[in-house]
Amino acid sequence: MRYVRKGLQMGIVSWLLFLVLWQLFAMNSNQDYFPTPVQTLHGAIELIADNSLFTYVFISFKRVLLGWLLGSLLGIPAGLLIGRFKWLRQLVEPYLNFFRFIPALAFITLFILWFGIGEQSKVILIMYATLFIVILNTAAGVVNVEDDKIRSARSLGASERQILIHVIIPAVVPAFFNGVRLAMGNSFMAIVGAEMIAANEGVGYLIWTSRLYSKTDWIFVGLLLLGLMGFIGDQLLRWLGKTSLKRYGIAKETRFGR
Amino acid sequence: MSYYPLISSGTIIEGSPEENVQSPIISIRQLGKSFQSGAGKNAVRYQVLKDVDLNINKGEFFILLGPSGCGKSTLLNLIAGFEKQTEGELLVDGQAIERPGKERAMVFQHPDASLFPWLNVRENIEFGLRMQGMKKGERKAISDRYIELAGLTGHERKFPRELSGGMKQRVQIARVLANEPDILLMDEPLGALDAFTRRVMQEELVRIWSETKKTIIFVTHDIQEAVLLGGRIGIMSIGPDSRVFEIMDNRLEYPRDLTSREFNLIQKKLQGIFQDDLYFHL
Repeated sequence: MRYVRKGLQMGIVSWLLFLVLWQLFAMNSNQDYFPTPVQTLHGAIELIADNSLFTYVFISFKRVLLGWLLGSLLGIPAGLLIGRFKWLRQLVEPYLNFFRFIPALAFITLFILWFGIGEQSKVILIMYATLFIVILNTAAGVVNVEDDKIRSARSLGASERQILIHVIIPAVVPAFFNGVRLAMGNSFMAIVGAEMIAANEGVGYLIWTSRLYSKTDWIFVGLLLLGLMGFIGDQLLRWLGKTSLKRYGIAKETRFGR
Repeated sequence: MSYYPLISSGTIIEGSPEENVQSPIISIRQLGKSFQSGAGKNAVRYQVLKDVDLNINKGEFFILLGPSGCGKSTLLNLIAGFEKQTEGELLVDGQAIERPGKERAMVFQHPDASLFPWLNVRENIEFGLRMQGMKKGERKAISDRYIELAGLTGHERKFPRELSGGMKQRVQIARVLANEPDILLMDEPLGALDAFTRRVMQEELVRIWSETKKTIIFVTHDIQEAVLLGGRIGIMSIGPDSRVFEIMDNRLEYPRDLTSREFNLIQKKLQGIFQDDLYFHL
């Protein structure tokens, strides 16, 4: 009983159950369309053998990381400015509220026309997927900094510049971190779409082209890879937040999902 | 202009004689503050304070007493320089207040909103000194002194979230004291504490005041607290158009005995004011 509870806590029970259900379901289906876990593992071994698996993962990850980093680096200062100045907020809020309803995927064709079929269009797409979430979260964080904190700093003799650096930015770290984490999820969604439509490498490409060879086991491998990449990326980010940003109050508010 | 003969007789004397001799550290004349809400046709003006006259002397423990919404905090915010008056004059050391300054330090009611949660106790206390560019060694010497004065020894490396409400308020008090202000503005700083912690903190506050000789302006709606702490108690009328309509001298010796006859006499007289129908028609 104790092992079961421990397993539940660590998610092991969930994954064992997942594999069992998958196996049962696949055994009762046409396995050309729904491969079993073992068949999927064979698919994965094939893909590792011809060296494409790690290459694809590396390429997709690189695109996401680059676009996400650039989007975040652009989004933080933009969010800080928008949160800090009311007139700027009023100026750009209509744009933000309009563009955040246009999913990044919808821009793929346009971005290919504008930035070419190569890496550039994909990185810019991820940037777009990242930017708005980071801006909105950061700006909301700035607006929500308690008046008393700013007043405290002011009556302790801090200048406006010092208030920005020593009060507002540290106070916004949790909101910003939340935005960056959500953006990571969005980036994975966007990259798969982009790679399906216009790429000859990457996990999205793998999923899309496997269809041509009726290799459903490869499709399954691709799906599992996406989940795994997202999970590892998120855990890495959380670990980073817990260790280096602990004093800003990150650890406690990032429990379930967001 | 006293409606209450009781206050200007017996143990309680209205207007201390020293007031006229010493030049006040804060001098308030015909002060008014109104807010505007809404815009255009729907604009509504609300006159929170009107014709406030008040002198506060150097080193005194002054209480602003009144019910919620009477503009006590607004008056404090004006002195702090967070807001600007709409009418009248407000001088500190003979100078009009233009902006917040470190000589007028504010202790807020809610420490969670005003402390910096990403800084530990010592770092919070050293914040003002760091902003002024003081070197680490010098900062430590000063923060050590106020950590001890505020009874925070042993908690220097804790973060605000690891402290109880009372401890957090000690940090807030030490944080402003480390900055060597002339005036401490306290906006119901003990209002959110439980009764036991509150009693301890009241005693601590009297001790800190008598050790540092700072001028304190302390806002509260608690009559017992006012009598326990205040050298003079400014009673505010109910809003709108609030003003300080009566100042009561309280010359009981510190530390004060809550159960003494004199204490209860003063408390009863104050209670009388707030229970009187006249109070609502001032």
